Amino acid sequence: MAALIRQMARGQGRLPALTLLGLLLIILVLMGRAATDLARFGQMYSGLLLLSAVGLGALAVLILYNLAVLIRLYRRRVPGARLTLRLAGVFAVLAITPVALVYGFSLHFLQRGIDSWFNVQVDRGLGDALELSRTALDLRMREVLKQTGRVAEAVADSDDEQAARRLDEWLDLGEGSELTLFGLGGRIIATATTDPTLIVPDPPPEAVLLQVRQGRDYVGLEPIGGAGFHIRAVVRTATPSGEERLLQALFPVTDRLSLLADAVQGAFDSYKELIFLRAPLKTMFTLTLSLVLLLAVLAAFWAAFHTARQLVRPLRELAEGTQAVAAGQFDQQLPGGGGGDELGFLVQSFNEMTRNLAQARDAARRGQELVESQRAYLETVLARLSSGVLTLDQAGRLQTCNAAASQILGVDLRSLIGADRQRIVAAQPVLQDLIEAVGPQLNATGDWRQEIAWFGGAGRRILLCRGSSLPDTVGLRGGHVIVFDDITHLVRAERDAAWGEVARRLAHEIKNPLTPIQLAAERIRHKYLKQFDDEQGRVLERGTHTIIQQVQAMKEMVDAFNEYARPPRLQLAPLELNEFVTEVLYLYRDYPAGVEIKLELAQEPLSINADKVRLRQLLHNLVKNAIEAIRDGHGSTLWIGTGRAHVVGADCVELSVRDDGPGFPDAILANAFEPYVTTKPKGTGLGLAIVKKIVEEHGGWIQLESPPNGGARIAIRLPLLRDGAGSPAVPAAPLHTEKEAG
Amino acid sequence: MSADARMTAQSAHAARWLMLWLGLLWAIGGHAAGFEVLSASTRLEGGVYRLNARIEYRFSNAALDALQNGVPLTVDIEMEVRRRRSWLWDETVYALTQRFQLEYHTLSRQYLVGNLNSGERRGFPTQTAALGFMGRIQDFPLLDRSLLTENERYEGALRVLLDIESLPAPLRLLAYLSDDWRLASEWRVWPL
Repeated sequence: MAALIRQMARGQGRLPALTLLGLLLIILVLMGRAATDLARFGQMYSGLLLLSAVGLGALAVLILYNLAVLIRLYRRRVPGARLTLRLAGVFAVLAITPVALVYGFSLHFLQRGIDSWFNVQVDRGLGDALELSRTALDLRMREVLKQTGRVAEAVADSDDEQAARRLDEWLDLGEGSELTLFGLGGRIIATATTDPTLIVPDPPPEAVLLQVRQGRDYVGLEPIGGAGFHIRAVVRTATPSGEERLLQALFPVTDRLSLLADAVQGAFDSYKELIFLRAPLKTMFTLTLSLVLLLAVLAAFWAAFHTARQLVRPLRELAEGTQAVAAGQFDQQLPGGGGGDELGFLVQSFNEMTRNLAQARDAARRGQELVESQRAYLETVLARLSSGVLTLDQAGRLQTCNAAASQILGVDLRSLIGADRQRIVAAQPVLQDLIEAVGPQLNATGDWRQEIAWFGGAGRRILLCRGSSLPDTVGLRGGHVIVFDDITHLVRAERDAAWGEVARRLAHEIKNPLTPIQLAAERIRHKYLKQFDDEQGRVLERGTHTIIQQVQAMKEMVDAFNEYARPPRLQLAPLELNEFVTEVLYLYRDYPAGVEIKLELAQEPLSINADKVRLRQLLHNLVKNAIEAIRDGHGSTLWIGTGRAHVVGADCVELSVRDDGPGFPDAILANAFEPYVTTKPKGTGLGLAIVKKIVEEHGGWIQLESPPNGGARIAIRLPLLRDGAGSPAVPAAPLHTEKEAG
Repeated sequence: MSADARMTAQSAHAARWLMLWLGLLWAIGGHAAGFEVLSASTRLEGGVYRLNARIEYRFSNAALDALQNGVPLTVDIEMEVRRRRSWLWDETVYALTQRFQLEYHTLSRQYLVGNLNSGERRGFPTQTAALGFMGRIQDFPLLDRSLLTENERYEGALRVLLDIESLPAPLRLLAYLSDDWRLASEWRVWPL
């Protein structure tokens, strides 16, 4: 039921609602008929009244539900609710006003109309007719009474049998239809009737008997059955013996008189009843009329709601659609565009608009996706580049950077995106030199290329920068792109290769004549020493000795060069660094006083893959170098440490050698590992160069540091041999051992 | 006049008022409209239950007014035979309605009582006589005994009510709403 109401309220159940209205109309028509034609439809009246009340109640519930829903929607400010309410109100008022007018006039005419049925003259006329009929009948009744009296006298002195005979005689003579003589207690003594079928005569009512016994004769008009009358007369007689008897005579009224009296009686009764029922009749008509009014009003309400909703629905849908479009939903298509009216056209236009919008949006989205994917592609490419890439806008603010840029500069550039030069310098002072070096180029247009030596956090670096000013086109807005590579290692490798070549040539070109020179010097000494006197002999002796010694020194130097230039032939094997360091330094335990060697070894075992011989040479070189530096600089302690380090994404083993000597002068710090760079008065200058070479042969890297509290520190990082892994972890730092091997 | 005498006069006055009110109440209470079954019983005669009953009809003034104005009044005498049941409500095994129509015949100044079941119609010179006739049910053959089951308890029930549906339609709505027209007796029950 509730579902039906809801369905009807939504206007979907138009058919049930119309059926309800139709039924109510039929019921009301029948009620109208019942009010006017009581004989035929009177019996249905109560049922019809009940039915119509129920139907109207249902309609009222439907409308109230409609109204409640509408008001709720209005309060919730649902689009269209306001307009629907207003339209429904207007329609309802428009419909109710004429209906109410008609109702008022109808009611008035109804009252007047019913009153006009009644007329004093008709009333009096009917009364007079009735009185006339009575008078006419009274005459007849008096006559009947007289006649009955005569019969009574005639039968008074006869016995029972005689009485019956006399009654028969009187019946034949007179106009009576039945003569009956009653004894005491209503006993029938004798009877005579014209109706042979009648066996038991009709006794007088008790009230009549009572009246007659009291001495008053009775005569009365009595209606018989459906139509007609008879006159009943009852008189009292007495037998000679004094026994009381009653004589009843029934006389028919003549047909004509009977018919006329019936007609008068009928008309009078109807009129009287009508007068009596005037007020209820008015009530009934008013009720029927009111019900019709109610039906009309409710139907008008319902129609108003329905029409308003029908009218507003496309508007509401348009409003909702517009809101949806405003919210960015373009997929919504409004139904009901098929209507040929202006609203239908509006809906069609709206649908077309949303379709176009949706297409435009899809195209824009596709374009955006394309741009995004290209951007992601570019970023991926940039991230995989080993060159650092930076872009700056026209004001010199950092716009983009790739991972390699941060790695090469040793600075997290991503946190500096959007920052200008001052802020970059403030955040990362180490970049100041670089920015100053690049600065002039940024003011120029066109491509440029510059090699820049820069002291970064990891020592002196040589960067190859290439820059280009960006075109000032849509999306780029000018600025600069800078691509740079860390070519420090490349430059060093080139230099190392050059030194290797020099060393090999020296070894080759110098070592060959050295042996003949030495042999010749020894021969001169041997041949001429005996011939010279002591003085000359001493000079010769000193001279040849010097030659031989210097040649020997030169040979050693050539060997050292040879050794430096020698291509690596490593025999790698797993090695425990702590044990190895302890073992090698055992040799120095009795080293000349003045230098104390302290070991700072890691607790955990540190495995590396290394050539034992070369590594020992490395350690000797380092220790020797450090001890010499300590001696020259009046230091006292040498620390040798091992540990685990995590550098640039890889686990490493760090071997550090630190002293409290004079440290490295700044000028040397950059080129300390190049051959013939030395601070010592003696030495080939190859010590650290060989150390670096060995480190690089092992895939590690070496770093010179000048700690703030003085002295020098050399840190060597070698790849950690992982448990069970045969190959060393490759560090991220650039390596160029192969290039050197060539 | 002394104070005592005045008091006596006042109390007499009050007593008269009281008597008047009481009398009025009695009049209203005693003559309140309504039907009543004064007695009802059955008698088994020749295998047939015969009903004897006395009914008192006290029509309201409104009803009597309508009667005088030519509106016939119809009275339903409802008779039932019910089987008594221990656990459930009684079962009505037989039901019968006798309908009497009372009307006033203006021309003859007679009250006519028609039995609508039998079609028999009789005239009475007074209203009391007519109501007396309607209110006396004598040896009315109610039910054949053979229709009842042995060893069951039965009871007869009788009530009488004014049939509003037989009134003219304009009067009906009023009749349904007014106490003057809702005339009915209680069920009068007796063991069969």
